[in-house]
Amino acid sequence: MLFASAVRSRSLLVLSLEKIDFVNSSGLGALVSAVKDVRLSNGGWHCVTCRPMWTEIFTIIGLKRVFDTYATEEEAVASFAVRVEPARPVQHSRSDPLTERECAMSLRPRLLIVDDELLIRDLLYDFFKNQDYDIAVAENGQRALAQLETGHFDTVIIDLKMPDMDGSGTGIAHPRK
Amino acid sequence: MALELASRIRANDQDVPIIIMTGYPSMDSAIEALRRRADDYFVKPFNLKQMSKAVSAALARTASRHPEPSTGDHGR
Repeated sequence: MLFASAVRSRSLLVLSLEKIDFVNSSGLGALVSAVKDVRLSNGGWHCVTCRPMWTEIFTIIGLKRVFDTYATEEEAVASFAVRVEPARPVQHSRSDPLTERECAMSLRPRLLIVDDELLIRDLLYDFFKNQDYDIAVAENGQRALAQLETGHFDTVIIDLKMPDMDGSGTGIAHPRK
Repeated sequence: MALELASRIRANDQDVPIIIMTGYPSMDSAIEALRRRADDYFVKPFNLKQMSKAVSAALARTASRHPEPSTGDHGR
């Protein structure tokens, strides 16, 4: 709950890994998004953690200022309660005005979705298609690389586990040409 | 493995945002994804709005790294 409210308030509180629900989308992905969103759009943010391991993660994703590490959750919460800043509105959804880049390009962003599961491909395809993205899909890494060689994409969404990427190295281990 | 695909994509295009999704989350794979400069890491089943936000944020980051030159004319 604290984590969710911290994200909503555009600030960040990390208590411990165990406190973050790792089995749904409020997990690390949301955390990383929140950190990057805050860093990009807000300019000011807070991070309070009682786990030093998060420092490494924040460093990897380019977050340089990790404020404090506390020995206990209680101390972290107490500190966060004092430090938290008022929220600033952040616009994200496609119903929001187009970004300057999008206006300048006058082109729909192109997404490449790579997943061996048809259900996921279709789900993402339909969702982003309705948001005015140009979508391409690939069911494995080889096809994804082929698409990337022949076209430009603005974002690539990749499933971590795909048959042709596991074990054999087929496709990915060989030179492109 | 798909993270190698991410690395391969990075080798060809330094800037294209990469979002990893997985039905088998682990701290190791999340950190490895970030090390390979993935932009985000989603656990299935994920919230589509959250994914949309991640894509929008990724596009914004790309735009901020490559700002379009101003023409000085904003339609006025």
